[in-house]
Amino acid sequence: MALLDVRNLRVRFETHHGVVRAVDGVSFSLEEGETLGLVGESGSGKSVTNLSLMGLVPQPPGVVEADALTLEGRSILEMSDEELRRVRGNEVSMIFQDPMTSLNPLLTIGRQLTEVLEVHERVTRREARRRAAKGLDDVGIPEPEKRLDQYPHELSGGMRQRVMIAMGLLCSPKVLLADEPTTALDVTIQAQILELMKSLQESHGTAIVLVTHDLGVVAGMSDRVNVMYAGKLVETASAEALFESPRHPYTAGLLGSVPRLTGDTGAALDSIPGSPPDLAALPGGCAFRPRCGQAIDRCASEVPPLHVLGSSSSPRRTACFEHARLGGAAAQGGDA
Amino acid sequence: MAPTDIEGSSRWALDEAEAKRLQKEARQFKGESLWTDARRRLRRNRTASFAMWFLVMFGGTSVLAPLLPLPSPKALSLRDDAAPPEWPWAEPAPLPKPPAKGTAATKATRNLWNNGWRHRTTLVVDAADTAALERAASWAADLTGRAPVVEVHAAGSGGLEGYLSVPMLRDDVPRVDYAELSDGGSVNTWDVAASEGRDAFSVISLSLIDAEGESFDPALVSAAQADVRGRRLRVLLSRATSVEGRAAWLVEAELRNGLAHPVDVILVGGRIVSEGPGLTDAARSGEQSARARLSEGIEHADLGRRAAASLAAAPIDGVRYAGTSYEDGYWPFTGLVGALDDLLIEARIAIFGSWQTGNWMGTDSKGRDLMSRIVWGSRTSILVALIASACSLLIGVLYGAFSGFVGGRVDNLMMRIVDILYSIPFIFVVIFLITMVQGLAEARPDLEIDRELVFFLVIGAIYWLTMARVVRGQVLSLKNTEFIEAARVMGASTLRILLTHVVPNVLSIVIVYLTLTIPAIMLFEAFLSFLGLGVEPPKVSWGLLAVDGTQVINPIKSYWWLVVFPALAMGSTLLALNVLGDGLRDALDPKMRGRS
Ligand SMILES: Nc1ncnc2c1ncn2[C@@H]1O[C@H](COP(=O)(O)OP(=O)(O)O)[C@@H](O)[C@H]1O
Ligand SMILES: [Mg+2]
Repeated sequence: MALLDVRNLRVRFETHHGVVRAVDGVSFSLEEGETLGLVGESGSGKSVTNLSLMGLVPQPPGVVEADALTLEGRSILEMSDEELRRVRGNEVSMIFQDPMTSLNPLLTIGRQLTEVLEVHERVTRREARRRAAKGLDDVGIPEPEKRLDQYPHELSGGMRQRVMIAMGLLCSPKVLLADEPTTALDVTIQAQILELMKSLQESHGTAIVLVTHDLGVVAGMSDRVNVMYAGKLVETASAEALFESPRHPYTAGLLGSVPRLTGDTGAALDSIPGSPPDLAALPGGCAFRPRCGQAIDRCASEVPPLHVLGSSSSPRRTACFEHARLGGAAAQGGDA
Repeated sequence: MAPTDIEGSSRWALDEAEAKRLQKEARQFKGESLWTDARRRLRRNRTASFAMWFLVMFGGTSVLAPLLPLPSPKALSLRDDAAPPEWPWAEPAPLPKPPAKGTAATKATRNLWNNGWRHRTTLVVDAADTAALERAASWAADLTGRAPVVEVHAAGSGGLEGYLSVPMLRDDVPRVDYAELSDGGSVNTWDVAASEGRDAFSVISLSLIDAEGESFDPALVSAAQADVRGRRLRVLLSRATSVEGRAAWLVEAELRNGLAHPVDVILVGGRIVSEGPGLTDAARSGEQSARARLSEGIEHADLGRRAAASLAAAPIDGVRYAGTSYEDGYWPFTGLVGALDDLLIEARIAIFGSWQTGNWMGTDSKGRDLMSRIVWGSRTSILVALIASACSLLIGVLYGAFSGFVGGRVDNLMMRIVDILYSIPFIFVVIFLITMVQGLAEARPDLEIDRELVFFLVIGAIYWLTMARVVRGQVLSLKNTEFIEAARVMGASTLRILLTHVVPNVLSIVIVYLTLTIPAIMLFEAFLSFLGLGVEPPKVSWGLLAVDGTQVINPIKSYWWLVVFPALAMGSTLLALNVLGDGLRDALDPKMRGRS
């Protein structure tokens, strides 16, 4: 049984400006110890997907529906508030994009770390403190005992993100949702943090959902990658396969817009023309069609489903008529 | 046995090591608390800690007011003018010059009879029996070392009654004349004798009894004539206190303005002598409360007891001891505070005896000691500030935090309620409420409604509104910060988030806002008291003192002390509050850690 199973997740926000379908029919599953990348432009519903995994989509205005949304077979949608609270931070935890604002400025690091343990486990204060110090040590913070008595503003951004990661892992959760954990950090720190997450994942066996819009981050970290566009999954593949041969034009566009050190440095980046659609007023058919260079007539009238492509050993799906045909042909060719 | 011993001792040794570690850990934990940190930071902030000590001192002075050797804050004296401050080492100021006849005499009368004599020992004699009167007077003089005031009243039975009263001050030794009033009743004139070479002056008092010996018709307002010591006095009689809903001074002013012919004396109901001393059973038996003793000065208070005892031991023919009446020098508190105050007064008597400070800050126009009034007035002001800020803290912060945090429809509803309350013109509500309460208290004295308490609560009920708004706004912006979201993601309950994350983060705003609220409350209290809706004279608050001060500002004679001292007291307290608030805000901000 998959650790986390998401089938046909739909989240909509009923706002004054109309219904925003932030997540529309997303399905994936997460195995123990796996890292799943979730990629897409801003507003494509990555954070909302994460929040619904924690039962934290604000309701109202949000409405969350799914054929299945289970953590180890237990339905998150059917959990009571109390059960949800016990899951949060304990079995599923989350780290945020901006470490500068995700720590309470008035509480010491130690206080904030021990709070997690206080909430979830019956531990004495000094046991909590010992574990908090160990947590800090694990994420590579020097002099953890001293840090415990410091306030967030006394730490650098990278340090704070380490604290956040330590906090997220304190109760040894099974799933860590990392919502753009490195976006607010500068590049060298980014690399350190990613490195840290990777090694922690290996030692703790935690499954990670890594949300990012940075394909470089995904390439280094993820086993599998889900590409989202306008609330829908448009492509899902193993990291290597995706980078080797992107099948969806949007994925290709994303890859094309990543700066590379090799090749012609003078060449302009291929950016995707146009801008992400308004989720409250999606065009019919494929949401990417207005920005797509390979659209065919069918794209305007029908929403392309996720086609299974490739071999069963590396399952791969894409939601594009063109590439389903091409990939399908390739797959057929392979079979033949 | 031995193994257990060994086990026991080793366990003990372990425990000790454990205890040491625990202690060390406890010390480490100390650094963790925001509050300990804040306290340290506050202590390092010189100005703020100075302000705090100042406030603590001021608060202590106000709480311990009964312990301090201050004159009674409501005891009037025979002065006709506010006296300037005197140096502590200076001789007590002499009695003022004799007042001009007429209105000044009225004022002196009022002072003398209503409040100036805080202690009267009354002997009743048959007025026709001049010998008895003489005997009683000389007896009283021998006993007390000063001449008694002799008053003659129409007795209830139709005859005349003489009263001998021993004045409190050595200088007030009056001679009394008595004249029949054409309308019934009598006029008394005292010459306050010049015992130490000072000018004598006359004081005129009036006893209103109509021809039938009934009390004077309250509705009647008329001018009367009386011959007193060869002088024809025009006297205006009025029972103004029974003019409902009108203050006595208002009626007096109206009468004075509306009267065609000049009057020498205006006597308004409450000042009529014939109402006589209210003798309580306790006073009759010569007992007295600590409070009464204090207001009298211990020596003087003893006079009554001595008179009673002496008269009981050696009765004088035709002289009857009627009792000793005292006036409280303080406003009584009931319950716990009252009991504490009584204890403090006992302590004061034990420590200082009858010694009390002079008028170091001068007196007001009624001769009341200003320093004493400032100290006692601070009790009212501090109390009202405390109650109102407690309301504003408790209701305002909880209401605002809840509303902001829950959000949505609940927030909307709660804030509309605040809007509605805001839109009510509160001054009218306060006036209405307090008038109602006053009416109710008069109609049903058995309910024992404390008007002041109602007044305090009304003020408290207003001042939480802004606090609720401020807190809600703050919480709204906090709610969307990532650390609140992070706490939720961590699995913290709403209550925990509110208490450990939201409330501490709004605290600095709350504290700063409170230090702004307290002055506002004090001023509001002053305003209401000025309108006659708050603290009632002779009780006093800083607000009332300030009002008194501003009323005597005039270009001819400056009563600067009436302005300067109350303003200093209030100003320095408010300044200290502001400085402390500022310091607290810094202290509660961990970003200031390490800086001083
Ligand atoms: N509380 C909310 N109310 C209304 N709309 C929301 C809310 N939260 C998110 N959305 C909408 O959902 C869409 C997806 O948002 P999000 O998941 O945050 O994107 P991203 O992929 O950048 O993380 C956005 O268009 C946003 O406007
Ligand atoms: Mg996002």
